[in-house]
Amino acid sequence: MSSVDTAADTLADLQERALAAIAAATTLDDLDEARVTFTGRKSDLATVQQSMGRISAEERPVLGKALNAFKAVVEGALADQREVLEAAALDRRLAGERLDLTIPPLAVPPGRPHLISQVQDLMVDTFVAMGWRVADGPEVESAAYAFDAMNIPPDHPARQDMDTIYLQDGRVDAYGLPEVILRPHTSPVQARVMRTQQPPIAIVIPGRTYRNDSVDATHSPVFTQMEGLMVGEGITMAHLRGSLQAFARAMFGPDRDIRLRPSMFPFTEPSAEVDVSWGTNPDGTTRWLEILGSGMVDPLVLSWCGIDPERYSGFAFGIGVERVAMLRHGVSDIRDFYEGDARFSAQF
Amino acid sequence: MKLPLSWLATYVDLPDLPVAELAETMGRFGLEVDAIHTPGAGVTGTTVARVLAWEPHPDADRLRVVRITHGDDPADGGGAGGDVVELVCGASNFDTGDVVVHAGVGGSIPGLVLEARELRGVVSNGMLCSARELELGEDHDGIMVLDPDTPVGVDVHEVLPLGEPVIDLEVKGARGDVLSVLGVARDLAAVLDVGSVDPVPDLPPLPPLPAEPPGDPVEVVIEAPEGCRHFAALTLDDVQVPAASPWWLRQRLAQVGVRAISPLVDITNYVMMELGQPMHAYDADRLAGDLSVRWATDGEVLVTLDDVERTLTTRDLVVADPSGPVGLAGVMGGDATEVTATTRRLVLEAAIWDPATIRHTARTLRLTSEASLRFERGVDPAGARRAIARAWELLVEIGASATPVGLREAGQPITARETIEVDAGRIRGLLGLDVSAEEQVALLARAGVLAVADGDALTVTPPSWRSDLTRMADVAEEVARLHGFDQIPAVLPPLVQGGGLAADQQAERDVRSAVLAFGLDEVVTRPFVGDDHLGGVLPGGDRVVLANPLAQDAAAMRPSLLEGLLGVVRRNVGQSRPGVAVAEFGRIFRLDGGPLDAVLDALAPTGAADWRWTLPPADAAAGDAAADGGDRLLPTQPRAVGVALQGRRASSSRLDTRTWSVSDALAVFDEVARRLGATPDAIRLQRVAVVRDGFHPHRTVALQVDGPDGPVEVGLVGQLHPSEAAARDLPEPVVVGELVLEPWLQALAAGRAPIVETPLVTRPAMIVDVAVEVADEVAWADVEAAVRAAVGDLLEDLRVFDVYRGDPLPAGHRSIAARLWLRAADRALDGDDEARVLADVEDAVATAGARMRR
Repeated sequence: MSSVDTAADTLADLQERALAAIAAATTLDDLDEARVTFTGRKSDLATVQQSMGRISAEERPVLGKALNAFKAVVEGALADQREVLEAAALDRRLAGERLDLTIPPLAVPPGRPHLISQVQDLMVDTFVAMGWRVADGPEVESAAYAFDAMNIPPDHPARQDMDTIYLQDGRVDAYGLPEVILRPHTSPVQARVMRTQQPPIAIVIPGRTYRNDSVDATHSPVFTQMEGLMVGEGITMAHLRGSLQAFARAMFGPDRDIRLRPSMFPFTEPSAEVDVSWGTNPDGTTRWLEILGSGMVDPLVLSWCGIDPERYSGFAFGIGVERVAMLRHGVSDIRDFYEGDARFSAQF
Repeated sequence: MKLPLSWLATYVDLPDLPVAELAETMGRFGLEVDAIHTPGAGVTGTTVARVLAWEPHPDADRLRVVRITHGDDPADGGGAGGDVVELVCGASNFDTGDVVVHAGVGGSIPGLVLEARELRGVVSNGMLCSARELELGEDHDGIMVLDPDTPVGVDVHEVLPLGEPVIDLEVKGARGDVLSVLGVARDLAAVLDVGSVDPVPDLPPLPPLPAEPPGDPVEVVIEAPEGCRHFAALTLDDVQVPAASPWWLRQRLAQVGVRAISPLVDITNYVMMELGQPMHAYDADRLAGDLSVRWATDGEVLVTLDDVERTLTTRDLVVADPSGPVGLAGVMGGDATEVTATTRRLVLEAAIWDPATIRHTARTLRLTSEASLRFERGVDPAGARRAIARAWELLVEIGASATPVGLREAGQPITARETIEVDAGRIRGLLGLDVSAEEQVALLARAGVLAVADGDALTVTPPSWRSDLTRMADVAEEVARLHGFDQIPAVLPPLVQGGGLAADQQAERDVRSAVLAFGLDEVVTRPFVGDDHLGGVLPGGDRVVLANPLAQDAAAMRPSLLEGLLGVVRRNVGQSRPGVAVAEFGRIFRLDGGPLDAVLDALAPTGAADWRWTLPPADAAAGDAAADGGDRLLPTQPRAVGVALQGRRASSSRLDTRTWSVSDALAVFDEVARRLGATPDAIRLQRVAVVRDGFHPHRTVALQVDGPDGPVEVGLVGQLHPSEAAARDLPEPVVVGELVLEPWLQALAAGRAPIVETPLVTRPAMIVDVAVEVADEVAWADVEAAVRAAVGDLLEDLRVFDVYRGDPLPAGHRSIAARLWLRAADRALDGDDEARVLADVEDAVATAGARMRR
């Protein structure tokens, strides 16, 4: 028997054992061990390879061919088994990584803007979209801007009706009344704007306002108002109606109508209460809800603010943001806006 | 103002409409109806009866057993009618022969159906009714006893105004002219374009002037003409009046909400309600002489009809006799000269008072009467004589007798108002309504306004009772109202300007979104605080205190947002919520001149409007910009954002194991600063450990930014001190913070260039990690600042990634690891750069009082 034959026998035996060991490997470590055992530098294979130097030149190609065949078979088996084991290992990892994604996430989601903010932004944006701007002013205000400018002189009944909260400030006006107050409406901003800017003016004024009202379901000493003011040449009461109709439709639905009813405000003449249609009454007639007060800016207000009433005219209106929010969202207790209860915030 | 429909109908041809429809129409024309009442509606089976006899109830002290009849002949004792009804009655104000109201068995009165009922052994067949039971008044002292000649047996509806609609009108502003039946009737006539009548009662026959016997009339003089235009006084002698006003008069008064008192007083009230002219009746025998109208002297005293002693000033107008004031002009009469049942000499006053004077007195004395209400809003200055005549007419009508001895007057009635010239074209322009001059004249005529048109030039003369028509705008309103507001078309105004949110207004919305993105809900709280409140940013300034606060714990405006937020935390903790995270955006309030002013000044952006709000110049209307100096300032009220975090972090369906921390709050404010700066790094909030009342001494920082003269405090963030949290009954941890936004919002409003991109460098970054051992007393911020300065331009980013305490560090020390991203625009960095950076960092860290670990 030639040494080649012996080597071939060894290889065949080796291959048989290697394939058995590879097949038996259940982990990648087992497989690696088999690889080292059968193909490593100290393996039986290495012994066979070393014999290459000792055999004759004629026999070498024969042995070389046998060696190559062995390697191809064993390495193929190794690769196949590795693939199998890797796939199994990945499966095990994935199985171990199982998550119940029906458990709610841990992240704290963004909070909500307050309902007053949401409704106020909507109201403001309705006018902004029609080309209006937004004005702002102080909440602790001058009685002159809040009342005198608005044609509400000190002895005017409306000034008493306003139930104003005053500052313990010491300063009094020419009538002996406190000069610094918490603004009962955002009208003083109208005066501030008109005194610093000539027409055309088209502004809405959202903001916090104050009345000396005790807290109950329908009254709040603090509430939010949005007033509007448009002053220019040729501004008419028809423009008031057009603007407020567009507003009512944006806020409450395109099918809404508004109705103007004569009213009395010191700062407007003519003055109008504005109702918005709200479905029908049981008798089939249109149901109307009062939503705001409005009118043509009184000439006295314009001239107090330094605007020529002979040249310019304008209209103004005021609407309660809470009132709109209560109507739109069915809020029945105004206190809910100011208590910060999380159950309220979570709803909107 | 309550208006019985039947009373209105005496002056205006009311259309045949359901009352609800009439009220709706009135509302559309500016006569807003609050409510419609129908007192006595639902009364059935109730008739007029006569008392035949009564005897005490055998078994009950306070009850009577009464026999009544519905037969119409009192002489036959009910025998002929064959109708005798026995019932039990609790009243005792009647006697045999009296005419009463009987609600019979099977009948009903409001709230009650009558059936035969046994009362202590006697069967009562129905009941005798009081005025209140029939909703005809408040009187419940006894049953109604009708006039003796009232027909017996007829249904009560034939003699009493039961179920008659009464319209309750809301009267607004200057329309004093609709505070009477006549005034509303006139306005209704104008609005509905129907006919009306103006009453012209006759004055009594008077002895020719100068009047002498049979009596000496009370003379009148006006010493204060600025307070009284016209004063009329009718003196009557030998006055004999019935004991009580007749039922029709008492019911009318009841319908309008006035309590019947005595015939003389009732008549003055009736005239006031009917014509709108308040009157007063004096017992002339109790007057010390003639009457004068004058200003009170300071400290002068008058006991008014309500039995209250009033101390007057020189701004109060009085009617006085030689002994002193006998009435508070236009508000309330005096107690001492009140008419009584025995009054024999009577003075009836009708006067026209100055509205502002009456308003002042009513307000300063906190005394409002039906009279003052009308005078404050303006009474027809032509109506005094007519009121006196009407009162006389009524006296005669109720069967009183008296001898008129003289009518004395001072001042003059005003019968025609000043004429105004208006342009019909401008009225069309103001209303946006195409209504010709002729149509305007016709509309105004309906309201009694005389208008003459010459083309579009209108000459307008309002009637005496319309004090509210003095200008073009007033006339325009009247035209619009009578034409119908619903005729005004809806037209969108021409676009007069470019609209939109200003940059600061947009930024306020952006900041809100940024804050809420951290998981905070926005809240709105009432911005009041009491004496005890937690200090926020820059505590210690003076509070803005209210003169008339709603409550003691709401005595001042909030100097910080923290107190309101803590109130919200408290409320939600009380609802058993495991955690609270809320934010509020709003103004905080400090008296001017405090430390916050210095901060706002230091940070005031160039080109921005002054952050201070001021009172208008003293003579604002005249546009006189008188420099009044510092005392024209309003309190400081900058916009700010506040947060409060308590307990566990949570979503709507998951509780985190982690609780909210100071660091969460700091992250919120850092993000706010990034949003507000000209670039994301422009505003760097520096954290400086501070010790503040109510806060954890080692978990509280002031937020500072650099001002021109060094850092200034713009915010505060901290954890509540455990004892503060306990005092508020709040489970720890409770974290609060606030940041003043005003300077940056102002900078935005003043305009700002958009951010310019820094080109992205493509060369790779080198990453260097450093660990620094720092004693607790040394703030990381100082170490970081030193590192940043030392590395300089190469440093792109620096991020802390680990904080470690324990072995092998000494106690009171921690190791902070940070990763540095280094990059140069012009070259790739190499090992030399790394070595140099590390050496520099080591030196810098040592200088800052720490030690780099290598």
